[in-house]
Amino acid sequence: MTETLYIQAINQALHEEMERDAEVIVIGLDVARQGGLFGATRKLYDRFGADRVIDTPISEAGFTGAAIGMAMEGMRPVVEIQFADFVTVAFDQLSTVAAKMHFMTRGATHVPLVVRMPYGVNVSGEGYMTGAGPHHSQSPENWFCHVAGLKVVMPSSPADALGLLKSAIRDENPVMFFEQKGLYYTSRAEIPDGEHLVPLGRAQVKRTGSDVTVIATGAMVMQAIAVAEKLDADGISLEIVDPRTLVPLDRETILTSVAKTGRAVITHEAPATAGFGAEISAVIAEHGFADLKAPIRRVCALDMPVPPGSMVRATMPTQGRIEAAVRELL
Amino acid sequence: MALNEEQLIAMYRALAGSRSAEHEITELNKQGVLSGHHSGLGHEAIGVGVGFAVRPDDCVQMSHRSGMMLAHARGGYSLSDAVLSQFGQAPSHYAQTEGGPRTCSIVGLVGTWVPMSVGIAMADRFRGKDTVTVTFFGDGAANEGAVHEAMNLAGTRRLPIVFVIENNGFAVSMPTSEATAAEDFASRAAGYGMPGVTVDGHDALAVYEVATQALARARAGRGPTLVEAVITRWEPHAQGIADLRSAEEMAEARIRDGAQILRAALIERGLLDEAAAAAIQAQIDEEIRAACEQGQSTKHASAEPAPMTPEAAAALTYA
Repeated sequence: MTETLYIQAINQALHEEMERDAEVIVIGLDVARQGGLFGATRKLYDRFGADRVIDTPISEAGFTGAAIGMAMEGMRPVVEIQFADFVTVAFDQLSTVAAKMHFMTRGATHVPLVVRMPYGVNVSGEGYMTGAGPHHSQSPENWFCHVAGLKVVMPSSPADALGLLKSAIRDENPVMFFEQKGLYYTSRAEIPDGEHLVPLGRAQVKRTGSDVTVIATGAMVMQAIAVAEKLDADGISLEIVDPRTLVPLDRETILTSVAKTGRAVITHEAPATAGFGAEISAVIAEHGFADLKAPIRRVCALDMPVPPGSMVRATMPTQGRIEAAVRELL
Repeated sequence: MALNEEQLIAMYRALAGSRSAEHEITELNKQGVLSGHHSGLGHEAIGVGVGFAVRPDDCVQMSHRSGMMLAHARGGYSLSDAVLSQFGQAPSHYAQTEGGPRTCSIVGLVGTWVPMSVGIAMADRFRGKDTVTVTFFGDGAANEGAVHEAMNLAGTRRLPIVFVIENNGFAVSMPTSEATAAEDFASRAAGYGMPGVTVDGHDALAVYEVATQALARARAGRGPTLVEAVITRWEPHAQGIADLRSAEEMAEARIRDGAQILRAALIERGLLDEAAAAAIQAQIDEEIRAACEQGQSTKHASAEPAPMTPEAAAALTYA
């Protein structure tokens, strides 16, 4: 076991997969000599050269579309969108081309593509990017969950970042890989030695408990665990479930947990309205309604753009709001 | 590379044939037997000219106008296939067939596919191939942002790709003169550091010549070319959509006729005479007639080539 930062885990996954498969390439803005704006692609250029670590002009539609073309030819491109917010200008490429290619060609062509997107706000109180404003802080994962043909992954720990990114690169489908950028330099934890793969589509029970299930994604997982530790003192037992992959969603793990606790709180960084929490809530309501002892609660960002500066704290799902939601259900 | 006598006759056969097939398909749409067709009448010489210039292993991303003519000119896609595909009884010309010339799947949003074509050129270069990617789009798509980004990317990396703009003067109802303040599209190439060439898109031999040079340049590692093939759109944007042009303007659009231009050129060179041209046309007409008959007689018996359950279709969402 080695203690590793979240961003180092991303970097390690890229190194390992590029060593393993000569047709894995990295493409995006400042990914080569700069090593990525956040440093996720450091040293890849030195190791693998300009043919495999490709800097592009600022043109997300252009280079994302080019990566799709490479993937259709059987290569395994990994696109870095510098900030997840910038993916809007490449959305057509992902939704129109990548997501539907396998379907439209009746399986003759597929798109083994990974799009890495640093998203979100730094809610840890450490490091940087606390309030980067409306255009550099969003959590747009739900936009992609609605596009059939795409997979959507959100690792919450260094070990998952490593294992899920490696699996995403090996997947035959376009995978939207959301990296919580606040965790990059604040989340440090042990990762297993040797080859570490985490399969897509499998949730993880991060902590077992009996009173309330908290389903949390990304940075909210750490926040939920902190709440659980605090509530232990009051004799309130939380079970924390991290879906890890939103599409395909591991419904079974969520429903099994809710069947045990009878109560569910869902927390994510994106605004509540039509956020992924609504989907999880619907899954529980449709398939686990009889198990519920209380209404489902969502703890999400307010329905507003991410404000700049410190104001963001007042709009985000905090530990205090998670705790309040839990207490309300008991 | 100059075409020999045999190839020139083959080119005429392909051009006259795809013209006749396209004419028949367009007529069947007007009669209501078929629906929704985006007629390629007037675009034939572009498809045929480029089709004769590319290698089977070059990847061609076809457009909805000249794609059928191009597939036919490259070989392996008969006039009968072209007609029967409209009845759902033969594969579309976009489909990659086993052992057939290399194509790339279509995308329904114009211009959206151009970055993808650039990526195919990148993959081929990465793998050390000497193939070239050719990507077609229209004057309407040329104004899409993705096209600009794709051409810029191709220019910076000197990629083996040829961009072909089929400028038929209209994007549905928007005249080119209102869609761009520039005189032409070819001059945009300068902004991407690549040569831009304007060619008469009704002249198959001129298109062939320009395409051959652009392909040679790309294959030699000297980078992309932007080819603007200027033509007139003979028909409305699509069947069932009104054309805002006057009857006089519509008639004027048909004056430039790629099949007639090539026939005149071959007759002038002494490679073809009226009798030989008539004999070729008779063969074409018979093939198309038989295909139409087969298509119409079996259309109602089996509307879909391979019926699929919704569950089976849904299973194709993911690889």
